Amino acid sequence: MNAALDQANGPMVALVGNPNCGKTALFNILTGSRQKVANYAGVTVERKEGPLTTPSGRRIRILDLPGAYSLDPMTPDESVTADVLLGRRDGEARPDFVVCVTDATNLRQNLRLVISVKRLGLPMVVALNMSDLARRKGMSIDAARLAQELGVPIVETVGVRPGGVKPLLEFLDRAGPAAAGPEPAAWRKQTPEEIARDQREVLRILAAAGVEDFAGPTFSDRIDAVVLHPLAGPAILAVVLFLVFQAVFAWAQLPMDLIKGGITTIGGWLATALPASLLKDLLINGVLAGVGSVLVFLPQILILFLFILVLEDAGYLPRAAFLLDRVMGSVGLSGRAFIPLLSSFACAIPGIMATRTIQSPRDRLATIMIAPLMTCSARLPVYALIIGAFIPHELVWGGLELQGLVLFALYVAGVAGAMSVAYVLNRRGRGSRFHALMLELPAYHWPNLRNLAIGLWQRLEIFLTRVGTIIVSLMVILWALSSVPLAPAGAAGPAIQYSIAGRIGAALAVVFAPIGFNWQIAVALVPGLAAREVAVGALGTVYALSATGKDVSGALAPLIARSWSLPTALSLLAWYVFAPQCLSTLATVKRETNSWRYPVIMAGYLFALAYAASFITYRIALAFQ
Amino acid sequence: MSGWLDHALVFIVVAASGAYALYAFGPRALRVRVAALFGTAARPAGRCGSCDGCGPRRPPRA
Repeated sequence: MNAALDQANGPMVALVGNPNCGKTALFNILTGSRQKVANYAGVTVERKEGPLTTPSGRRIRILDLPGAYSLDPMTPDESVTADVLLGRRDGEARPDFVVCVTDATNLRQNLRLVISVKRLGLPMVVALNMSDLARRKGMSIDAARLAQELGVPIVETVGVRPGGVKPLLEFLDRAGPAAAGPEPAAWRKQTPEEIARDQREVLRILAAAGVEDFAGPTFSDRIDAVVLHPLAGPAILAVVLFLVFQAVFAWAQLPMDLIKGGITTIGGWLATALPASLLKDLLINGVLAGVGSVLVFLPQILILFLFILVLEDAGYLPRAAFLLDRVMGSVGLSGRAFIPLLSSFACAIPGIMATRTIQSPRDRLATIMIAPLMTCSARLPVYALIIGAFIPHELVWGGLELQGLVLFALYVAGVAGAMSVAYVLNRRGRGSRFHALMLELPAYHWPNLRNLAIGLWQRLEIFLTRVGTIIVSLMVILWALSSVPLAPAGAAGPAIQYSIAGRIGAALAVVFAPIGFNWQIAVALVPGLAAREVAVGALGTVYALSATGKDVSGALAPLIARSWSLPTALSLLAWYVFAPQCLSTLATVKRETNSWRYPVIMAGYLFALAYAASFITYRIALAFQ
Repeated sequence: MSGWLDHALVFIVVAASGAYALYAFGPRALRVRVAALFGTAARPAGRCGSCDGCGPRRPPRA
């Protein structure tokens, strides 16, 4: 972007601050964006930019930077912040103005960065964020005195309330950035003595401003006494996760039935409204059978994400990282790997990007290599389809959903696989240097309904966009490949067997026969490489074309229950625990490691693992059948 | 529906789907060219569309 255009869009204001002080929440309110926010450190790992027009009509560009504790970076995400502020980033000018965002409840920690940024000489303002929370905690902060002691202006903000940024907006309007700020001072790395001196200065400023360090156990401390207890803590974590998976099956039934009913109705209407034609076949057996098979699982995905969002917003997830640190450390993983791995439960791509918060390149690479083993949401339709078809809908062990239990086991299998691979990587690497987990434990708070609604809406939007674009287009292509060439006159089997897809499936079936996959599964795995849930849609299309004119759009599960054996179903589940059926993940690994070597290694080891796991599962299941 | 219209409609739908799949999963250079054609910026490589908003929601600046 050239300088003239930058100038036209207004001066650049950077939001800088410690992790989890609410920069992204402020950014979202200021710019109307919907960037991810969560109640833990390290959510933002890249620079993000958005436009702001102030009440008086000034145009400003707002830049959200990853959280940093100092300008001397220790992790790749902190480097982004330091590089932007110090003007070391290629093709990017230094910001014209800095809003130094601080957590008003934790100024003792936050002010050291403020002092460092002030030293740069850039025009700035300090935003005392979460000032409502500080007041509720009984902390009285004399903002005017604090501003006087710091030597920079201060505004109070509440990043989770739309009106909470008014003082900042008024300040930016009144005394905000000029298009061309002064030339900032040079920066040099601080010595330990200088850092200690800064910390003493922070304490002096706080004492002068009458900000008392909060003493005594807080509400969060009292909860943590139970939640982080060495015995009760892991038990609570296991129960929480277990209940989530129970709910995924127990609560989703009604909305799933409604969606299924809707798809069947549309299928029936199309069948009667359209004359017999190729187009009718495409719409019913290609698009509707494929898309309908995937769409049914939307309620389960939303329920899973509702729980994750609630736990995330309440502040429980960093506690889970703390509880699992010992387990992670025992296999050689950095404690910081927890958040990237947790993000991978949604999708491996943000998980792999979140590894930028990991200090050691070797630990970061190990985390990237195992991230796809975490069960992403795209696997859920595959798991739910097979579990729904083969695992009886019944209660066991005094009221537990058997289907939920199996789903929980599959998630555990993914985690166990990841830990085993990490252990092997660590052994091969002769052990990496130990990095203690230093993660801020944020205060607990009630989940913000707006955040939950935005999170769920984004999930819905993403899922429907995927269904409406990638899945529809791949289903149409699969239908075409499954329909040509036409079956010869007098052919006995369904036409698809004579088609291009049928022949590809037959050839692949030879490879997959030892693990119990039939040709229909083999065909579905090919488009399923684009994204895992596409395989479900593909199975819908393939079975719709295999069936003799019967509509299967709403009833794939009973059809596969009749066509597959239990060992085949279990083998396919085992395949999906490990297989790297996602090209976008491999592309992201290439981008993050800047090399083709690691995505190739990743694809190779994961396919080998998937084949081995399916083979063992299939053979054992056959032996017990 | 006449035979040729039926075939033409199916051909258009299949061709459009093929073009979209090529755009979505093809090389970044292709996405950039297509984006330039429509005057928008290309999606960053590796953006899956199923993430938690890790990438920019607005088109990235060139």
